[in-house]
Amino acid sequence: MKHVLIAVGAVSALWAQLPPVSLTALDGRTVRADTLHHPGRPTLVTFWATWCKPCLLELATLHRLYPQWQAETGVHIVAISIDDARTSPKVAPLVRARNWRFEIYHDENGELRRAMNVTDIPHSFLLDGSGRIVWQHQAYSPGDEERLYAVLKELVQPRSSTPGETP
Amino acid sequence: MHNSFGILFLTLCSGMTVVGQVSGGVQLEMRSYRADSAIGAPEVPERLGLNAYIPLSYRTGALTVSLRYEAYLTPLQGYDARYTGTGIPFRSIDYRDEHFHLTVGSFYEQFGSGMILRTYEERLLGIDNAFDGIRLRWNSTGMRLSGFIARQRRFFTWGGLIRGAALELSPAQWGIGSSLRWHIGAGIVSKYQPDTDPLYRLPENVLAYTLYGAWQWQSWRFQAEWAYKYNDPSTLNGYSYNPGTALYVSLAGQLAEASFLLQAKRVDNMAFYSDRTATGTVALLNYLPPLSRQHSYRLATLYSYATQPGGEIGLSTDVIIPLPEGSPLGGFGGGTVSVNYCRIHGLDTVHTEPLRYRSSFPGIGRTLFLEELTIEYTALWSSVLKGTLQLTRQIYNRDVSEGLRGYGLVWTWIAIADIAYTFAPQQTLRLEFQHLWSRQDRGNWVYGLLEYTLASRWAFTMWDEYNSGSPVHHVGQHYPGAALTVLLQRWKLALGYGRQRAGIVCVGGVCRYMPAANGFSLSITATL
Repeated sequence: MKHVLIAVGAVSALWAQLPPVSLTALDGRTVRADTLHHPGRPTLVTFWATWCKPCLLELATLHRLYPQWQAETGVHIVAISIDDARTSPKVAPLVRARNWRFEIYHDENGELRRAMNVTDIPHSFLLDGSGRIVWQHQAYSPGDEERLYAVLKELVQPRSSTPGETP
Repeated sequence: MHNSFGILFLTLCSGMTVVGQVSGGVQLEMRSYRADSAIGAPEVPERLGLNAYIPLSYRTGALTVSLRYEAYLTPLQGYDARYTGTGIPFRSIDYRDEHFHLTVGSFYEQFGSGMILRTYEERLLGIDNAFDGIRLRWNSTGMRLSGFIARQRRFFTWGGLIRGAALELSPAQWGIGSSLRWHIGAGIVSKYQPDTDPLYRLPENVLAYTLYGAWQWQSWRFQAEWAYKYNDPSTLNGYSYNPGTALYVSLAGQLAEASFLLQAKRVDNMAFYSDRTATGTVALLNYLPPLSRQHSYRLATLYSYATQPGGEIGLSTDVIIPLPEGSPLGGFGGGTVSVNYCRIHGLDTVHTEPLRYRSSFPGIGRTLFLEELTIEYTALWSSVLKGTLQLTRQIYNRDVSEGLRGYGLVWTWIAIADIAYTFAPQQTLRLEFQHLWSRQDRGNWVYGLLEYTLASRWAFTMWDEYNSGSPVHHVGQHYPGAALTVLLQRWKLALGYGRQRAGIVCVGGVCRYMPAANGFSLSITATL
């Protein structure tokens, strides 16, 4: 048991990264999750579904703020749909109708969701320029985007310490 | 086996501290139970139920070792009582490089849309039909091959013997018809179960296969899947020797500004379990996605529909019209109007001999299973005001969906308003008002919810669900409740108190009966 505690203590100090799990793009391509981050730029990965009202509200808000955030921080937003076979055909029509410019992927049988230990959605992870998870947040209510924006600004500015919330 | 695997896992953790990554999570769902005769909540001798899930994984290079500890002490009401106890029902070692992916131990798998094979975990419904065995996947440019041999989880044990393989091709990645971006695939599954029946001569090996494909051109996408299952007499199909078939097609596209989706599906005798005597969600091998809309609001889920594996045929259509920013309806941030319609019937079948029937194609039967129309309007009206208005018309066959007799069709109108107002920086009030009108079953329902949130910190919610009944069936029953949710970095805690009505809870078209309850609830989730 002592070895286990030492192990967990030592490893948890390292930064977690996205696991090498396969996702499907809207055009059917297979993409590995560990390649989603954009080197040198922050990446926001958010789990959502077409039937999740807070998720749709969050993505609508991010859509409105995305051009400004991209210009200021270079952030890339990746939205991972956990819709299963029942609702996954609705993802592309919804994304088109809402004109979302995020990268959208299907995690239809929840492989990435399980690997990331996501229980409830929306659940967002912020990755730094080297793909390390530096912040995460569960749920969404109006105003959460202000906290995220503050963390983003802190992340892209030269700094000696990590952002406020730990991974 | 549990212990030896746990020791191996911990040894790996302790031996490779500097090169790997540990991740995990916690989910605790606790509820106290108090007898409440007014709503039919039974007395629970233990007075407290707990479901706990603690996954943990260690990854180093191409190797991942995972396990999940589960505890049901005692299981929450509504869950299968056979879940009682504790253990490590999920444990696996994964090796994954650019081309190969080898899994030894527990894993989940899906072929196509899941009509012959989908194993998955849905904790809300108590579903975990994971496989335990060996799986090998190989992928290269435009090609993916997968094969496995496994047993299936049944509570804290494993049973059955299932073999499967699938091949998926993306010829567009080889430059063949690349403007179409097309993908095709085929999967085959075989299950083995000895025949010990004294009366029937049952097939010990049952084979099922599926063929599927998707073709995409600009904003248009056509998708089709055909599945066939050889005769598989079981408890659920009344030991019918008919084969099973399923056809599922969809077309998505864009006309002018509107996006649309058309879907049609026909299912005939497609219940597929690794144990022919199983019913419900244990030992389930496949997933038959229903065409009905997946509702999010409380009263719209009162009459939830699930695919009838014995046989059904239906179609559904979705149209989404965008409302631009600055337009009268789109307001400050834009919005959408969406319309969803679906109609599902039983199949027209004729019994030809004992344990066999004839079903012509398409064979639309006269029995209506579900008809539903939903119109939803959602918009960001200003920087501080946003919301959704929804109107739903349902005709729901209660006998078919809930396995009852003599209740017939339930006709409902449901109106919903969900308004959020941010009255101060990061402080929002959200109001939900829902009304369901019906002359059948338990009559009318009203639901009101008020929620105050302090962004990124906490939320307080209170609600009341009121069954006012109908002129011929007065009920007058309240189901009030309140909950406090607190977010602490990677932790989320929710403490609630209130009444919960009995009913069917559905996720993804798979349903479970939840009994009435009265008491406290505590939910803790964390990502570690």
